[in-house]
Amino acid sequence: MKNKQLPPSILNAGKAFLIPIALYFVLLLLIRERIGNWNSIVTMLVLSVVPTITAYGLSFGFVSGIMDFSIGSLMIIAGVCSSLAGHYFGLPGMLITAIVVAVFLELIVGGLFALLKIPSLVITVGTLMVFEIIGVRLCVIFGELFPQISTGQYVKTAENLTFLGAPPWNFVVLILVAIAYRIVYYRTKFATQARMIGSDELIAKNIGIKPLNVKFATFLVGGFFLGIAAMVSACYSSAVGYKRELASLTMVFKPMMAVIIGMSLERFVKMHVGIFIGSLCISIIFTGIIALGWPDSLQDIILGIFMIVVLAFPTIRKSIADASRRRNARHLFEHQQENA
Amino acid sequence: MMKKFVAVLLSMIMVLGLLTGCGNTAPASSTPTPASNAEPTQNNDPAPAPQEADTPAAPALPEGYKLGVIDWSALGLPLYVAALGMEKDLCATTGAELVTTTLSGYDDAAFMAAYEYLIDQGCNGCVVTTFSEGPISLIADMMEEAGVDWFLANRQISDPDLKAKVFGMDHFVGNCFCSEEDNAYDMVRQLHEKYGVKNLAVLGLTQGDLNGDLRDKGIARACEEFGVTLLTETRGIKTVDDVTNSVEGIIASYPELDGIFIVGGTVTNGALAGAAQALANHGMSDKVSIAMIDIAGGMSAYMGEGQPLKLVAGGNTIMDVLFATTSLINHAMGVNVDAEPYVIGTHMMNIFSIEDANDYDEYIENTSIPMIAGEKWFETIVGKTVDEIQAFSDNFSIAYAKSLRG
Amino acid sequence: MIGKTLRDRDNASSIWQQAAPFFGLLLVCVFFQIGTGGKLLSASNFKAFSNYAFQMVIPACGAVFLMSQGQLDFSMAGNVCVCTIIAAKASYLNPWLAIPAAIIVGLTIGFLNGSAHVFLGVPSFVATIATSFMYTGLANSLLGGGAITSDFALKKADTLFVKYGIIALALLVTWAVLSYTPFGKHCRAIGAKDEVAHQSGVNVRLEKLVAFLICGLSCGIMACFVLFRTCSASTNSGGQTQLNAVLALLLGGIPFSGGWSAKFRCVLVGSMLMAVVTSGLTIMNISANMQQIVKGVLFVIAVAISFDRKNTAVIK
Repeated sequence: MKNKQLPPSILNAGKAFLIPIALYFVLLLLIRERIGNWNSIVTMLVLSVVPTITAYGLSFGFVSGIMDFSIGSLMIIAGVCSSLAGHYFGLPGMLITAIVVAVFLELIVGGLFALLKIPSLVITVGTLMVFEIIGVRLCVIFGELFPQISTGQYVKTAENLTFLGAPPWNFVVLILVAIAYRIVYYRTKFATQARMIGSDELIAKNIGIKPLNVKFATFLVGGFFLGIAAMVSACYSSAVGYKRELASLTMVFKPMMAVIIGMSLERFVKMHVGIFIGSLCISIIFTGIIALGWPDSLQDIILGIFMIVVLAFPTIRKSIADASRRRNARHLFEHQQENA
Repeated sequence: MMKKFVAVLLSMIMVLGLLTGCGNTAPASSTPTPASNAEPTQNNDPAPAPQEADTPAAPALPEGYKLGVIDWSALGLPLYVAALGMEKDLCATTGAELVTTTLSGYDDAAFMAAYEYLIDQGCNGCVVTTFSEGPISLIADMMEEAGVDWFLANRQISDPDLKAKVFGMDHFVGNCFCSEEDNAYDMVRQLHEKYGVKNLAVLGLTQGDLNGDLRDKGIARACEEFGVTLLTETRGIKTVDDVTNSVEGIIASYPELDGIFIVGGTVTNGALAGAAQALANHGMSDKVSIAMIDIAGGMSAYMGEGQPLKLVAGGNTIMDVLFATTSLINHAMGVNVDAEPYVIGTHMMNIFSIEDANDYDEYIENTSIPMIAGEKWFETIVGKTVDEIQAFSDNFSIAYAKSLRG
Repeated sequence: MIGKTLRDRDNASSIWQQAAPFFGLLLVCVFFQIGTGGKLLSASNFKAFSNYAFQMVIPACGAVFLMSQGQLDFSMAGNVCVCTIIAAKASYLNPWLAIPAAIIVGLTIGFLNGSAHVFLGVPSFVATIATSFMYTGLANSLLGGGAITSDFALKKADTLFVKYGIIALALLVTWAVLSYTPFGKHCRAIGAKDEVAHQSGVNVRLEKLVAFLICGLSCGIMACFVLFRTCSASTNSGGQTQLNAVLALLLGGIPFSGGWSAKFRCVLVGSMLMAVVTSGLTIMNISANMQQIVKGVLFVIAVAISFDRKNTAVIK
């Protein structure tokens, strides 16, 4: 009688999901009375929705080697404009405005990158600084023109549209976006070329791929997902406010970590699932910090350490693999010496 | 070759700089204030003389008196736009020249640079406010050295040595502040007594802000006295989504939560939107009561039946601006000059209902119509004694602000 | 003939890249001198200008070694903040203890940043952004309920003589080390091609670590300056130190990826340029918002002008 085994994809998915489950159980051991309830689990899932969709938008550029630090300020502008549009044109207006504004802004960023041919880090930090102030001015102007909708510091989302930020509709949006992402990331030539460029740009160039064109396209495609993330965020918080003094830089890091975790888990699960797992892990950690009653200053410290660990993981893994290989080689050599 | 080229260039720079700077005597305050949301102001326009037909002979302001203030209106809050509007009206009525500056950052060095700028512009009086107590001593020395009168607004000096030093200075006119500790205490008391709050979460300013720290003391005192459990504190909130995330996390971890106190700062309005939405998402809008301190404009949308916001206290910033500027003008006019540096206690306006919120927006934080304008200045606080000004402050209310409009 | 034309074109391009910062400095001096009605280079502005010059020169002197290697440190503001807080606390034991305290903490934080990059292999920009979060959290923890003031005796050091003395010393040391020591040459070699530098016998990891230490040292010195000037420390201390440093160096003509074109003049010209721009914008009463836009645009333009596209195979 043959042993029935689970298909490899399910086994691998199980392995990948073990990480957030393990994290949750660690917290459960520490503070069961605070997070050992269904509400906590739902909250952790809710907190991971917006970072996941944002990470989808960030990932196209990231896999091709682009660092886009302007996504935070860009999402604020898209969120502000779409919140306003939602009051007058309902959900379709809100969605279309968010996507159009985000894609337009990424067109500027991508266009500058393709035109000036300087590192993306410089372009995106420079545009971040400009976009932040555009966000400030938009809030102030909307506050003067639409005082019922904007206070000058933030723009309120239409009340009848905030349902998109809460369960179950935010999960519906997430699933739809994840399906769209999966199709784009795995079934389009553009995404394949982006991954090839990220792997080795010189070889990709030699086989006829135009890196600048593909990288420009990653900005635009990323903008589409960022627009949706901006809209969902606006619905979730019921308002969108501006950030100044590079504060929007902080909006990049949770999605970035989610993308890196997703890339690390790619041998187990597809990217869209891996990114969600990464985002979920981060939201579990932060919910845990609140539940433990730790001060906020510790949140920042833990965020920083977590980022370093995630980013250093490939190096650490490689060091361990190298050490193991050297040890095996040494044992083999010694064994041969003994036999000789 | 390169070295010669560089030497020539540097010489050209120095010569050009000399040529463009020579003999230039541009007026100190001729530059407009681009940060202001209002139309660009001409700071050096001569202000119209106040009407004297019906009022008794008012003390006169010295010719060319310049009043220096920091312009916060670029932050976008109606509060600061309204405050600037009042300052402009006061100067226009009394014949003073308003000189404004904006901050180049939000650290202590930026504040010091701002006051150095105002002194350089030839200001005769400055309204001083800082986030922390540290630079007050240095700013005091700066003002004393420059011979500029100054008034400390919206900040209470907690260090007794610093207080003794500042109050002993010749050019220190006075100080106005709201008792932040008592305000916060009172709000927690009301949350507990009127709305039955027993388990409180605090969302607040980054630690290090003077007012925030005093409010923390008030909260701690009230919690101890009334047996309210302080479940958790979230600091350094920057925007709406930060708050929503935090409140979602708090709700998940502390289901017994029945009160949120949003302690304040320029982001307070956004904090309310985020907190209210998070409660709505969990169906807890009826169960949790929110109190907010500091920013009080635009509250009507968050109050009423089924809404979590129960109590807001704010508007003291406007009062501080009012008393600081008037005290300096009075001092320049020769009023109250015999008085030692004085302290004017202000209080916050309490908003309990939609009607209160609407009245507050219309009569106190109106960005188009100053709360006090024209002759009302002389009827209320300009040219008045310290006791009269304190009485005005004590009796001030939203209803009174309404009556000022006539 | 074609070779000569190509050589001439290369020379012209190279001269332009080297001369651009000087033209920029000339341009901004003239622009702001006119725009401020002559106040920029006037005696009354000298003290304020000195403060800006200090804020630009010291971090630039620290960051030039990193940038010549093609690295970035985005945690300088957090570093300055933590150093300021610890130095303020140390000043109560003895006012002048603040100085060694700030420097030791700055060096320690520089070491941590360097370790994250060198030993853990995390790209410097991302590693230092991550560490900047940690330092912000640490600063909040250390303050534990209020900004703090230092001993006011430190105010005595807030004199033009001290400031210009430190500026002169920092510039002299930076010039000597960057231009005439093996370390300086190694830094630029690493920026040019770190693998080649390694093959040539340069201890790349050690040199990178030392560059981070120097950057940390400059942050410690900046913290002392903040304390001398304000006698207080808060979570806002440090402001935009890293942005000022990076912008100053880029405007001074340092290539973004480092390498042989990283010269001492980048520090001098760039710092002066940034000081003039910041001072001019402040005198013209330009708001913090508008200043941020100006800096963002300058950042992109500066790199666009000086970036060596020809020798960069892959632009990421």
